[in-house]
Amino acid sequence: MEKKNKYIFYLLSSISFILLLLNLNSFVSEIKLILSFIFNPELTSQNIKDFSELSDRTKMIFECEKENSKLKKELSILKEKLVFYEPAFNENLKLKEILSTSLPSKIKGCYAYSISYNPYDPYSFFYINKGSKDEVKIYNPVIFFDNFKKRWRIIGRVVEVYPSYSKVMMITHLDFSFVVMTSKSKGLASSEGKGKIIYKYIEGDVSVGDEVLTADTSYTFPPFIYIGDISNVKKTSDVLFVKAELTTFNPKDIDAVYVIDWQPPILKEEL
Amino acid sequence: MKYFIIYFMMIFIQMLVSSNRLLSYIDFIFIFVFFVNSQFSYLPAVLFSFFSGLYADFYYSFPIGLHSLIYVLMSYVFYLFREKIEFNFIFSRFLNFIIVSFSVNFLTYSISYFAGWKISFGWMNIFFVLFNFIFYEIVRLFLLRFLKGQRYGVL
Repeated sequence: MEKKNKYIFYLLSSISFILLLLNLNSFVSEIKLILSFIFNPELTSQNIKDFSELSDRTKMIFECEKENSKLKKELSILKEKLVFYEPAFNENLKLKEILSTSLPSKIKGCYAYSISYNPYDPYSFFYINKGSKDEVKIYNPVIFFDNFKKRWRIIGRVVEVYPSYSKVMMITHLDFSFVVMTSKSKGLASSEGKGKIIYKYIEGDVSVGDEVLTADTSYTFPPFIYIGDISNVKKTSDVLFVKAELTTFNPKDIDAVYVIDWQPPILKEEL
Repeated sequence: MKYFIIYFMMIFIQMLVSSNRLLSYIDFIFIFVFFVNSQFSYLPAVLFSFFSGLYADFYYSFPIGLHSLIYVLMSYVFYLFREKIEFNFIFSRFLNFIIVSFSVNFLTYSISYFAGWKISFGWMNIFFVLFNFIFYEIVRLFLLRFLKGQRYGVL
């Protein structure tokens, strides 16, 4: 008899233990809910009112679901629009700023966008989205609005023209040199690559902070267009070998540019 | 048959008191299990304990098998110490009830804690153990009257 009792105890306790290990709560939660409704009148009485409104509430849930899916669709459409809106807004701001700045008088031309640049040497050349169709001509100077300086500055000139795009050689290109001037001096600006422009063969005095403009005698660019400031002066005993360094631009900042409808006088005569 | 009657009586009373906020603290399942274990022989008592434990797990939203395991264990302890436990005097009944009640509570919460189940501990349960005893006495008197004239288990 004692053995039988022990076996019953082992059997029942092992069943209980297995039930515990199986962790049936998640599986029987619904059964529990139904049983709790059956065995727990408090819960039932509390929910009698709720059950009376069950059909209305179910209807409302379906309506909410419909509304939710509709709003989700609207939200996705608005999000799509917002993706385009933000860059368009920024571009608009930028263009507004460019247009608000007054271009040098008597300058005519067209606005263009930089579409690509040489990734191996960003200071060499870049392409713009305007070509011969937009009356862009070879050797047309290209200027852009420097947001830091808040003024227009020269960045290069058109070297190749195609119907819908053009190639612009930058003044920082290794082979580029042209005549420049400051208020007290005149000389030659020549690029040494990697964005470095050296002001050399200087006639006159030069000091740090002087504004460098295109010279009135230049055949490369129209006169008096801002290039940069003198950042460093290397003076030697021989005046001819005085060299100065110019501040330049960052090619990554170049976005909207202005192509000036101007050509060198010699070229005009040749044509 | 009488065991089924007592079982359904337990469910019915538990259902009735659950609607009352104060009375819902009274653990009628435990009271009935304690009564059955103290009054009947081992086999019906352990089976009653097992099924009452299952019902308690459903009722209190405990992990299924926890109360049944503890009540079966309690039944076995009753079976082992039956001859040494005195139920005729109220004071001894009170002592037994309190000890068993606290042991069951302690086992429930300690198993839950070590198993990592999140079961909130109610301090009111400790306080209501005393009230449980009062209701146990009422249930005992009622059930003994109900079963009067018949001989069950050790009675």
